Amino acid sequence: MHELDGRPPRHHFRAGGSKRATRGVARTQRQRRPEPFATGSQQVAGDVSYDVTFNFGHARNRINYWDEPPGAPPWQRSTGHPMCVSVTSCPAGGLLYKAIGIFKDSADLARYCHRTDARPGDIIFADIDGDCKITANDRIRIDQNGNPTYTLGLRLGAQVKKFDFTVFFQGAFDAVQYFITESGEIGNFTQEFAANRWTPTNPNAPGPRAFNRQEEYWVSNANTYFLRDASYIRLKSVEIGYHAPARLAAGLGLHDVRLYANGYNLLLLDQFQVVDPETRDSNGQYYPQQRVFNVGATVTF
Amino acid sequence: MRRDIRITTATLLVLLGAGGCNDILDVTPKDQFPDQAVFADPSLAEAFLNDIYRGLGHGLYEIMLASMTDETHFIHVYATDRIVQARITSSDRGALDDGRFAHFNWGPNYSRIRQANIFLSHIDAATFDDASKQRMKGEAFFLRAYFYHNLMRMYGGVPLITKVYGLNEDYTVARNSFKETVDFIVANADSAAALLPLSYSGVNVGRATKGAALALKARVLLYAASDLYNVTPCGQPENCYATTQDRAALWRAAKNAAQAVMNLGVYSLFRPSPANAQEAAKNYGDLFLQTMSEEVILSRFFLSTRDDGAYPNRDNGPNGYHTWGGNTPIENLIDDYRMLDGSKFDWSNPAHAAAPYANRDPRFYASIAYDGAPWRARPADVLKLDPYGIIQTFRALTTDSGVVGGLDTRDSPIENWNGGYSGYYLRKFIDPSINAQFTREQVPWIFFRYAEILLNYAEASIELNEVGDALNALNQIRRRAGMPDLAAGPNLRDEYRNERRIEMAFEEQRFFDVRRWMIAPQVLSRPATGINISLTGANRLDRSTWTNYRYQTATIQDRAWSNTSCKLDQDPKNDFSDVCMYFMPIPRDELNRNGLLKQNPGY
Repeated sequence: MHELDGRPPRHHFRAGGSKRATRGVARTQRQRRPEPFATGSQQVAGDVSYDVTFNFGHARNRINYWDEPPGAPPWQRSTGHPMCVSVTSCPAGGLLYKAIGIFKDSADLARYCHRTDARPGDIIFADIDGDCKITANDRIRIDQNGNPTYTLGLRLGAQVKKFDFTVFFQGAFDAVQYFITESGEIGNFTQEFAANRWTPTNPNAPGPRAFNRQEEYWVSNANTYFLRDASYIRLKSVEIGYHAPARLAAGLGLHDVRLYANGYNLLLLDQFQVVDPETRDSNGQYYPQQRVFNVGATVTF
Repeated sequence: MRRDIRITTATLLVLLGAGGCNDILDVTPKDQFPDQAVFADPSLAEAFLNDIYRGLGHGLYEIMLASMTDETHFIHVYATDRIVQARITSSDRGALDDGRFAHFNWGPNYSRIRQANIFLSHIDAATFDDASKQRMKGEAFFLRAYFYHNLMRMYGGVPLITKVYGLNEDYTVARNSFKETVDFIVANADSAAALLPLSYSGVNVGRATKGAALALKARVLLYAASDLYNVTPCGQPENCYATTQDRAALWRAAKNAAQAVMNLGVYSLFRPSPANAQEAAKNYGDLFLQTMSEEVILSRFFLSTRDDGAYPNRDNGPNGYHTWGGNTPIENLIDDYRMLDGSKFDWSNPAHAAAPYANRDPRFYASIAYDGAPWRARPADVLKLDPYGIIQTFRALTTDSGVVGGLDTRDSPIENWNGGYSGYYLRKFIDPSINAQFTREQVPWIFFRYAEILLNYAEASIELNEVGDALNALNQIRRRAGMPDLAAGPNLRDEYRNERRIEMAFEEQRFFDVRRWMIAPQVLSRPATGINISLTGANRLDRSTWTNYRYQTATIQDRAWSNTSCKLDQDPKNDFSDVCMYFMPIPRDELNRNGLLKQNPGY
């Protein structure tokens, strides 16, 4: 309140719209940029009817002005970039060292400007400002974060005589998630990390050496090596239903009986692979989404 | 439908407009108060002031300053390794940048200083009773002085900001000299002391008192008289006195400041005259479990129902009790606990080496959990492995059926990832009656206690060669601890320094003491060591069969005072030799924001 008293607010954001779209009416016509929208269609042809519903969201924000302290290198300034909306979705305030490889051996070490404590098997941080010292000025601003720019949903439904089918896909794109486990003396590594790790006998490995907790500089200093693409498409749910013949229901003294089977989280297409792409915990400490199957009956009296 | 909405909206706007746009839209926020309201109401002003207190932080977080000096080894790491190994730079300050050290950090302290400045800029014009105003003003002066004293301890002289900056101002400002910073803190502490009461009652207990302000002044003047700030020639005036000072005058000021606290007559040592060593150990341990005592000058209280980050029993307890190990005391400290008769402990003495935990300074038993120390009953699932409830940090018990490790080690069947390497766990601050696995304890964190004042007084007296005064103060502490009196002699300064190390262990003192005494290059370059204990016995359950104890010290962590990484940016013009690590590096981002900030030497 003190800072704001009688003065313009510190932040002016231009928001691109909400992330969630409601199904039904399209409401995008008067917007200048792609916006959340949903469209649906229902068709009936004889005994067969089907419906398709699609929704799509585009969410972006940009800091147009705030009283950002001067002096930060141009590549670290936040004005003109998306804001970090939360600590969990935006590691190290969006400022990360740029990982450009692994030091294979001491000859490799000599080829790059590096920290004095760097050893073969460490991650190479790019010397962005060209002073041949790896300092905090070499961090770069990462615009992507855990909040996806694009979200979509696709629902396909069909009724054939007494059967009905529903399939729902969900997707998110242009999102990233920082991921590094607490490992070493406190616990294990992921299989992926272990398989990719550098060792003196495997100097061409794509990943860095095994580490203990935060003891390596590239563990305690956030860098792009551990930034993962969190985009995904998920087959969120599938349901099959069947209405029992009216005669049978009536025989049981019922108005209608519908038997159904459904499943949730049946299929996932993603780049992340190691943990669920919807996790927003940088250590992967996230209760995974479960695959659920149900069989049941809906009875109407 | 859409048209209807538009019409309704338009109608509403017209109606609102008719009411007078300014009145309706220029609302007072419902979730915050404007300055005028805060300083018109003593409760709101006090609430604002109370929030500033949070900036004091505390020393009972999971990660302790003790692990950045020669007291403990932090097994959770959290980038403490690069501090004790002198690998920090202004870009990578390791654990210093952990949020739990906010009370020592640049940005958080200046945020709190800004709050204090806002408070001080409004309080005189406040419209409530003068007595409340004066007291609150004194608190704000104290708090501002306290924040600056933490910045001074970490960085040396810093920019002294007393104005409240607005938007679009020029925020670049140079550091003040060390001398100006000390003078400023002392002046603020004096202002506070003049306004604050000697004590409080009821819910106000815990606010800064006159004693707290004078204790802060005594600490800062003791620092200012110390070797570190009086090196000649002085490299840069932000880190030391630019001109040679009259050291005796500095020590005299420090002694007088400590004397002023003693003269208040409201503080004394907690249970000063124990009947025997066991009672002395219990008294010393209990001191840190009391909510309040006659020894406490300023402390922070906690509620077990609120998460303020203080969970010392869970964070530091042994893994064999399902607790986290945390900050584990190292042999470097253990060896400095004297024998009960006042003599030095010595591994080359066969009697000492055969039973290193027998007949030590009673404070050892109240500060350290060691192999064989009685502790609370084991948790239900561990009871079958140890029916005694005694700490087990031995590495190898050779039994008829094989070799097993102690329950509180990394070879334990219980949560071995939380096992320590040193063979010791923290005992001080921990209440054994509470099940730390599930329950947070409510022990306070003590910022200032009377024993520190006596120690400050003794140190200044020793440096002034007023030995009688020094011994008088020191031996009050020794008697409370159940230790024999110290005597005059050539070793008195070293004995005093050891006494301070032991009495104030883990209380955020040692990190600064070794620097201002300039003994850090020797003591902080020693590797951290622990104890390897081996023995034989019939099985792990029957302690009565355990025998043949052997104790062997071993390095558990390499440590360094300076190295090439640390000297990366060393200014060749600076002749303040081996400067790295005496002062902490100012973060690179702060240097970017404020082009006038000068970095500390060595970074």
